[in-house]
Amino acid sequence: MMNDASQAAGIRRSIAGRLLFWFLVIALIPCAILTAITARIATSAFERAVRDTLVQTAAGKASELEAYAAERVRDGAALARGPSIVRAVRELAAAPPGRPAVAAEDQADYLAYAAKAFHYEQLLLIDSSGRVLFSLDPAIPVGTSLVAGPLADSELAIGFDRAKTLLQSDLGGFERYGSAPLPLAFVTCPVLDEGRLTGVLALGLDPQRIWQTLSDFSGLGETGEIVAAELDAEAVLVTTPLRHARDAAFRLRLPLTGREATAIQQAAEGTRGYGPLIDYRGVEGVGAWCYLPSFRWGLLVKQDAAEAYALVRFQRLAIIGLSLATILGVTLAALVVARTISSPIRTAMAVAGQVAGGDLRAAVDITTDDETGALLESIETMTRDLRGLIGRIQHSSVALMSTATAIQATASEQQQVINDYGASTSQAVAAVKQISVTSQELVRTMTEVNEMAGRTGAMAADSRADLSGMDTTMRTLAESTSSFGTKLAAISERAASINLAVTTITKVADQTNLLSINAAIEAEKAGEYGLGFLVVAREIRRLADQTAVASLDIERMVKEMQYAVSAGVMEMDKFSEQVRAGVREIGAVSGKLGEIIAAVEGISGRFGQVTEGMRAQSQGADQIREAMVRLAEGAHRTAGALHDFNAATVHLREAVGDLKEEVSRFTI
Amino acid sequence: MQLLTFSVAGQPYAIESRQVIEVLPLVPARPLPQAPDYLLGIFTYRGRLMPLVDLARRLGAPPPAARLSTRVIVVEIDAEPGTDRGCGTAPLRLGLVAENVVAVRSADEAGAMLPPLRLPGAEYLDRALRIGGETVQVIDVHKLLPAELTAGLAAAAAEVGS
Repeated sequence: MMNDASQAAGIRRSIAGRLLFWFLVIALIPCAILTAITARIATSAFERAVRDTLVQTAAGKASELEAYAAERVRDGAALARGPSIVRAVRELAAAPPGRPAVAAEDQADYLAYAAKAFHYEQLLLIDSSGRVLFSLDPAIPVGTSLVAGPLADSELAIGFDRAKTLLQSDLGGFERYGSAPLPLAFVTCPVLDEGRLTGVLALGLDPQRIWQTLSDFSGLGETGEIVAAELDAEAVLVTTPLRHARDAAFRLRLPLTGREATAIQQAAEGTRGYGPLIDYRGVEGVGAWCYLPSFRWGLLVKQDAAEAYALVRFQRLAIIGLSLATILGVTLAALVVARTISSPIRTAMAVAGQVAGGDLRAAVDITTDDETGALLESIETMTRDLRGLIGRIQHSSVALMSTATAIQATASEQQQVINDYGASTSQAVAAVKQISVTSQELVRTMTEVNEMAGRTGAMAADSRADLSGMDTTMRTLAESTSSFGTKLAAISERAASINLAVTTITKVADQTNLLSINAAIEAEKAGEYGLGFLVVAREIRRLADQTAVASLDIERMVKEMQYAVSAGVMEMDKFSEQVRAGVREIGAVSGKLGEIIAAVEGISGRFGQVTEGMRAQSQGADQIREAMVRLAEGAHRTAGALHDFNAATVHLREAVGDLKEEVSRFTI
Repeated sequence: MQLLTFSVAGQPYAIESRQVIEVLPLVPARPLPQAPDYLLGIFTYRGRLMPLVDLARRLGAPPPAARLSTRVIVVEIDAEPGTDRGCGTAPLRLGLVAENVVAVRSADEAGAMLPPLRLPGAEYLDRALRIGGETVQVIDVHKLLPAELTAGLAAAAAEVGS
């Protein structure tokens, strides 16, 4: 089953995997190529759009500002040629030196009106020597000299010089004068009175109008802005308020060496361009730049890269998302299709596996009507037919089994009966055989007994004669033994008395020895006088020693004799007792023998008759035995035949059992 | 010199016969309570009570067998051994039980094989002599008993003597 399962898994993987692979190949490769091309085209289109917007905006603003500057200069020139201005210069210059010139009231009103009408913030009348004759704003008071003093190097002084020298109107740079809140740029126009330069009209422009123009961020999105700046010594000075730094005008300086100043520096140096940049905040951006000759400013129109390329990024994300969604969809579709195809095959495999394992109950669930449905239907039909067939075989085998069992039981029973019969017959044969043998043995034994009885009678008669002689001899022997014992006892008694004598001798010898020792000691004490006595004492001791030795020998000999005698007495006693017993037994045996002889002589005659009868009986038993043996053989043969039959039945039963077992593997 | 020979544990020993007063047959002794094992008791000798000492046990051997040759050697010792107090000292008589007391033998003093040994606890061992092919150890009866025992016994003897 495990193998089947893994096989099924392998097939499923194979079908599903191949479907998935080809689905992905067919669907995704063209899609990917198309998407790549489209994305490339769209990206370049977006980038070009951004570039066009920025470049056009820069060009538009530049031309607008240039037009504005030219208009201002033209207005100024026109005003300077007006008779009111010429007359005012003439009258104010005629005032005596040393006293400030004071304009008449109507003249001042006119000048104020003219400035307002042409959108000028300041109006100065300067005589040819550089003295201020009239000032609309007291930030530059009347009487101030432009040639000397604090304004000598100012933009106003430069413009005055240029107007006086070139006799042309011109626009100067912005500069802060006195305590004015905003810087001013002056349009300086020569005032000619009858072809002669009498003074210069200076009209102050504030940057508000320019800023207004540059603060229009239309078409620049959320982060786009316009930066104007001029070169100033070592840095670039921003001249407009910025979208992200409102107060940057004339305050923010970007060092020339920094990355942040690269684009605006190129603009201020007069170059036109477009490209990526880093702005004053350090943010990556993209911008177009150009030069404003009237103001000698650089103009930079820029936008943050994040916003400018937002669409490009969005497009990229959209492509990735769409690709993923496509892959997912294709995969799912492939899986579903694969499952649709492989599922019925798996079902068929499972059913086939169950049938192979012997389970025929498997139900097939047919859900489709395509080729796989037809396959499942065939399998179901096959299983159903197989089930019916196996069921019938099982029924038949059960019936066959019970029949075989019944036959076997009957045969066994019959065999048992025959066996019992055979066994009984065999027992009978054995018994008859035993009787026959016993009879024969009995006949033989009787014959022998008869002979033995005859012989015994003769021998018993001989024995009785011998026994009479032996009895007499034994009696004599018993008498001799008794007298021998008596003599031995006497010897033992004598030996005891000898022993007593020896003991006495020993004691005497001991005393003598003691005496000799003491005598020797006394002799020693007697000194020289005792020497002779010492010799005597020594002789006495020697004598005593010899005596002691002799007495010891006697004592030992006597003891040995006594021991021998007493042993002899004991043996004699035992012997005489045995003799007496022998005599008694011989007498008894002799009596019995007499009786036997009489009896044997009586019996011997009758044995002959008995033997004859026994012989006849033995012959009869032999005949019976032969008949029984034949009977037993018949029973045995019958039993053998039955046994064979039984064995055949067992084989049949085994065969049926095997069949049943085989069939029982199937579950229906 | 005459030596009275005897044996202890099969080995031959001897006492100078001039120290011996008499040899007696083995006599029964009355045991003394709390006495050392070699002090067998007291016995009567010629109307006097005397201590009886087992030589075998005194020499560290098993007690002797009761034989005819096992006899009592009566000796006289100084009350205080090792000192010479002259005739004023009351001599002490002892009975010594020994085995195989059957002979008095002569020995040449020049044939002494070994001078007296000085073993601690066995000061009674005197010279060893060669007699008739045997080495005989001579016992000095004066040093046989410990000094205090001798003194105690001598005191009793003195009482009796006075």
